[in-house]
Amino acid sequence: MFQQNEVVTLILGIGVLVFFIGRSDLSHIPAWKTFLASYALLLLGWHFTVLEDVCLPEITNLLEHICYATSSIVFAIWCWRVVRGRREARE
Amino acid sequence: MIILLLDIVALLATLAAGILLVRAWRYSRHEILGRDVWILLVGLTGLIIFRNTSNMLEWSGITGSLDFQEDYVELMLPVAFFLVLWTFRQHESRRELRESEEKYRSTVNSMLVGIFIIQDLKFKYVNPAMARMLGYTREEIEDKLSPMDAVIPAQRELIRRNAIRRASGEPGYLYEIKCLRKDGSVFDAVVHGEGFTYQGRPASVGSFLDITDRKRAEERFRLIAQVSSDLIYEWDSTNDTLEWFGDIDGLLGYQPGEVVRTIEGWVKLIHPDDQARIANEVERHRTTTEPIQCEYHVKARDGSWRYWSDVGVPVLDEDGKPARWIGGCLDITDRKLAEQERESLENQLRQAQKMEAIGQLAGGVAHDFNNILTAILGNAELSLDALRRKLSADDPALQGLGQIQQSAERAAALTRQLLVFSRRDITQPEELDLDQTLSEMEKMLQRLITEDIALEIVCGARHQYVRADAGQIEQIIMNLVVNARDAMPDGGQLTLETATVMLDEVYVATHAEARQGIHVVLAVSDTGCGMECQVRERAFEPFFTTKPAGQGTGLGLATVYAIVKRAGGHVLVYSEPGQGTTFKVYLPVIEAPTEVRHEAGGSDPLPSGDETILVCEDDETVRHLTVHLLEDAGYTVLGADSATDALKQAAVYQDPVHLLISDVIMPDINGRKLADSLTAQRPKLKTIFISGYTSNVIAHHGVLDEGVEFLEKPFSRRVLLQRVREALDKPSQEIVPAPDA
Repeated sequence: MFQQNEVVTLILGIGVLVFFIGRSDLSHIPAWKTFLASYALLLLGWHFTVLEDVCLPEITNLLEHICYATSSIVFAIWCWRVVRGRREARE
Repeated sequence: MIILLLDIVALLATLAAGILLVRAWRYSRHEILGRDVWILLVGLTGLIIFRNTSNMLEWSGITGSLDFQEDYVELMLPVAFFLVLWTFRQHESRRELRESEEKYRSTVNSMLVGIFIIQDLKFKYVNPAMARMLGYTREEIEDKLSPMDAVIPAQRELIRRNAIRRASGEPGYLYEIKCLRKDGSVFDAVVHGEGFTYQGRPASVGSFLDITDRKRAEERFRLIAQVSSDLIYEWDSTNDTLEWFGDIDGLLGYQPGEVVRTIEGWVKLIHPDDQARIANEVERHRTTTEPIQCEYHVKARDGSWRYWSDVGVPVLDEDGKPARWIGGCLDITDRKLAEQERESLENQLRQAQKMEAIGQLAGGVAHDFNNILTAILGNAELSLDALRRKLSADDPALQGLGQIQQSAERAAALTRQLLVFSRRDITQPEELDLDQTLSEMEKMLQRLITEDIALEIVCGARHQYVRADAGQIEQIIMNLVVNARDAMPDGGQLTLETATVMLDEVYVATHAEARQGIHVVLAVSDTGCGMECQVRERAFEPFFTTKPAGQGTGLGLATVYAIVKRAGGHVLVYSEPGQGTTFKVYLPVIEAPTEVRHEAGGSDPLPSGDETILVCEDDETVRHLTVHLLEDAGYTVLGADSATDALKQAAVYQDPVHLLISDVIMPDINGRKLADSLTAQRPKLKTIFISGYTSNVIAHHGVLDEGVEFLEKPFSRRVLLQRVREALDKPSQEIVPAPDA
């Protein structure tokens, strides 16, 4: 059955996403779409984590890790864009 | 295995992100991200690294002591993301606010327009431009200086009132004030303020601009427009408004503001003949950049039309198309009238010059022709006398000679008219009362016109005299009456009237041939067919006639013109087709008459005598004829073919010579000099000059001096003998010597 901590993580993750989506001030964050994409992939991974306990554990587990890996790459890209962008702006 | 690889990739990616963040810290943490954001990001990255490391260890078969912590880390991740997002957003908002403030501060500080905040009648804030305009430093103004102290005393109340109004929430408006600098100098400024809340209390914020230069420029422009003869305008072609810098209403006699300030209103004031053209020009100049340059008539308030010259240049917009036009209008009515008058005078002068040229040509021909006619007439007369004694009256030879004589007389009359026209005839001017002349001619004029023409003579110039040749004045009247008669084949009204008029300088300025002073005007009016413009313009040209061939020589009006000119007057014609014609002859008035003219009789016996006469004539035929006629009348005649010959003969002739008859123009010595020489030798010698025409040698400007006897060629025997007898019978002292050259 579902693991409690995984479900809580998923609910918190969805809550954070709902809180920020639709807020116009989100656009103040540089490269915010990239950042949001990274978070969305992470959130998707949490979905698969929960699903892993219900059905197709191998596939959902694989998908979960794919989401984590992709999310990490996108996060790294976002960090790179922010740091580079600010440095260029400063120069 | 795949999952392990994925976890390794995820770990490596997050490690790379961590390295980037650490490097960013090393460069300048505060400037790039902000300290709090950076810390949270590093924390988030650390959590992800931890989670990825845990995953990798788990799938690599190493049972993790990290399992327990992984659950908490997983739970912290959304919270960490939330904190990063929230903090980052706050940080960015603060940063943007700071930048915005900096941007506005820089903008306000760099503005050339003064910006101020007033609260409690004190300047709370002024930008550097405002301080500079007032001549203070910002520290000397802010919280210290009152706006009341920055204006002239007369406007302090205005400032106070405006400050109160703005503070009470009334909308701001633009107004001009005279400000005081720190050094006491005054300058013009324009101010606009709005009420707002500053530090929780009512205040006003506004802008302030020194417009001293603009005001000076406006004043200069106003003065230039005032002293300029041009009326300056600005036409905004985008909305068709028209602004005039000058008293456009006053200039055209309208009430202030009556002239509509739109291009449409302006075009309506333009003469209908010019309107379409100007409307086209207006449309054309909406697109073209060619300068405006046109002339048109504008209607004044009193209904008169003023002639205006309009010149304008475009002010182009950013696309290079005309947005506005700046121009000047000049009232050129007087100049145009002067041009028209000048043109009219030039036409009159050209006409006079043409008449003069034709006159010279005609006079030259007539003079030579006169000598020929003299011989023809004289010899015809002699031959007739001789043949009458030998042949019967109906003899064809006598009839032929008679026709020759008649034709020659007609030719002589024609050449006489030509001489009159060319002013080479000899006139004997005297003081004339035109009213008397008209009255004397009335019966003759009645006979001249047909019964269905009513003649009316109105004498209105009594006691005013003109100096002219009586015979020529009569000829003028006859010619004009005959013309009037011919213009009224079906009858009508013929009116001859005289009047006295004063021709002033204005009249003279517009009539090239007129002279200033009192004139007698003789008007001959008919109710006939009138004349077309083209006919009227050529009416005085010699040989120009509208009469059928054989009914007019075309010299009648030309003769009138020449006689009037000779008498110092001028003649005008007024005529319209179907409306009749009026000729007006203007002759200058002189004072009371000094002599009375006499008419010579024509049917008395031929005069004769036995005195000695010296005839000097270079034309052989004329000389022989004259000698012959005089000898027939009983005189002793000495014939000379030149002045030299005459002097020789006079020198050798011992007996008295009573009379000299001399041609005026001769190849060696002229007649005047001959007469002078002979008179010096023989003081009692009398002289008669003969000539086809004369020049200044014998006459002044063609007018025979009083007392000098003159006989015009061709002459008849009776005239010759009468004039010879008259000259011989005059007492010697009455003969006036010929004038000096």
